[in-house]
Amino acid sequence: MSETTKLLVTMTCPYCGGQVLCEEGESLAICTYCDSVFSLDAEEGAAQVMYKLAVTKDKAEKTVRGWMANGRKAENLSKDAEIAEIYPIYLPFWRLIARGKACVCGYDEDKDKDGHTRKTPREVLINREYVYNDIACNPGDLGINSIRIPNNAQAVSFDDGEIATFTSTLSKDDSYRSGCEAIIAEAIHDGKQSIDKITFSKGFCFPKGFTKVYYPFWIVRYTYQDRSYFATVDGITEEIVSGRAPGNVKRQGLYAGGGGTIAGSMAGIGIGFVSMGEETAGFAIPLLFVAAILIWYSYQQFRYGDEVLQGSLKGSGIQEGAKIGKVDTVVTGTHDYFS
Amino acid sequence: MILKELKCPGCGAPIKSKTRDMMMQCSHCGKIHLYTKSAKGLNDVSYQIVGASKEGKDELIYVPFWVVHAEPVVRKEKISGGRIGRFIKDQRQMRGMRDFYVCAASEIPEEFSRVWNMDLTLDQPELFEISDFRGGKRALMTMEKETAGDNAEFLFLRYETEIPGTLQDLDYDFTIKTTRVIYIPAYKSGKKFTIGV
Repeated sequence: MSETTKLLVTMTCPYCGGQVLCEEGESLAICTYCDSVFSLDAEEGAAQVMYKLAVTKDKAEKTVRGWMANGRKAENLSKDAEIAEIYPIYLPFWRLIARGKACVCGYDEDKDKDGHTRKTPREVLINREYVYNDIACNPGDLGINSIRIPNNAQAVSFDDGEIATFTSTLSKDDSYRSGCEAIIAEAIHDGKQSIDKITFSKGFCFPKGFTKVYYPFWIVRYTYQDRSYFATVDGITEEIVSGRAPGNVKRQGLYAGGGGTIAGSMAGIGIGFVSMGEETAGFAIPLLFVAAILIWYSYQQFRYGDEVLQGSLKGSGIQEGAKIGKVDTVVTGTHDYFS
Repeated sequence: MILKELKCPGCGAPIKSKTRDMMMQCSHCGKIHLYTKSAKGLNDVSYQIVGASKEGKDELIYVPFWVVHAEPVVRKEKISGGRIGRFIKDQRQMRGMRDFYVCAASEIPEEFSRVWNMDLTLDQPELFEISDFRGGKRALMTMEKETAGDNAEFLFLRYETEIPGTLQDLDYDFTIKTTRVIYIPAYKSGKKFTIGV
């Protein structure tokens, strides 16, 4: 596959009733039966597509129960949590597919055997396809900023009468501009990856498709020890996208006690080495260094371990799982040049 | 989404086509019009068809190019090395007013279109115009006019990096004067394309 998989929506020809295939980014559509050609006129100036919800309510709850049982969450959370409500919702996203091109120049720096700094000039041209996804509404406490649309997602023409969704707050023009800027920045960033010092860079964005996407999620709200928490489940892949869960109190205690004890012992041994004289003082440095890191890590786990966060949630808590970035690179179909 | 039927701006007949081509031909009056996304409709366009100066036995196709008439003006340039290489190879400079050729057909693989764009822009060939497509197939135009200028500028930057020496800094202006469509003949043999000029 040299190009990003395009969304495909089927509409009906107003003249012959035949099938009209509308592809993402294409503003022209053709009736496969009578060959009539249409321009796609979207209400907001961009095509709107929604994806079919593929995950059932039971599956969504099962996924959340499984998520509760793993990681650094409260013991018996999966068993003791009470589900308060489960409901599906469609969130709007702006999606831009574009080819990002960049010219990045600079030099690599290294030391020769005599310790002199040596500069090797470098040039890089990046020519890749990128996909930008950005939430088009204020998602509140849901912690969802972006999506990654799976290949098996089934797109249908958008009908706002059918679904529960949030009102869009981010305008098409602002998002289009942000998307182009993000793709240019990503193309330049990709070029910078292999060069130590940059002296020149210039990027371009060549949009191929700009669509408003309505993507399904299950929102699962639950209570545990009289406090409210939630998790969101991807309505197509069944994966947990974001969530807030109580942390493991025992684990917090273990880090506060065990981590502190071990780090303190290491620091004590280190100080002992120092007091033994110059010959053994060298052993103290790595010990004290490891002790400092252990204390810092144990403190973080103790301080923020009362809550576990997943997705792009703000607030204090231990972060679990990977965040979905706004720009994805399509690795195939690149025409990069390095010298 | 609403489907809006495209009609020929010349004769008003509905446009019929089996392919998505930004250069749409009216099956009634035969005129070719350019589809623009921003206007969501067809507009009059002038285009040139270039005759083949190389004979070929393979399938003849006419490939649409955006020809961007532009002037790159370099105020300051810093290149590391390559001066001898440039001298020996009598390296041409992509400077001053010239036509930048940008292949506008996505069906031409980039390995071919990249070379064609560079060679045509450097050579600035004298092309002789013909009146029709002379039995050749017209390749679909898929690139919008709005992106042709940026593609031409990237072509200029690509040349600066490909010639001997390593580009370190470039302070330049790239001023676009006009943009027009030219169909250039090419021969297709399996997955291989050869330009016919």
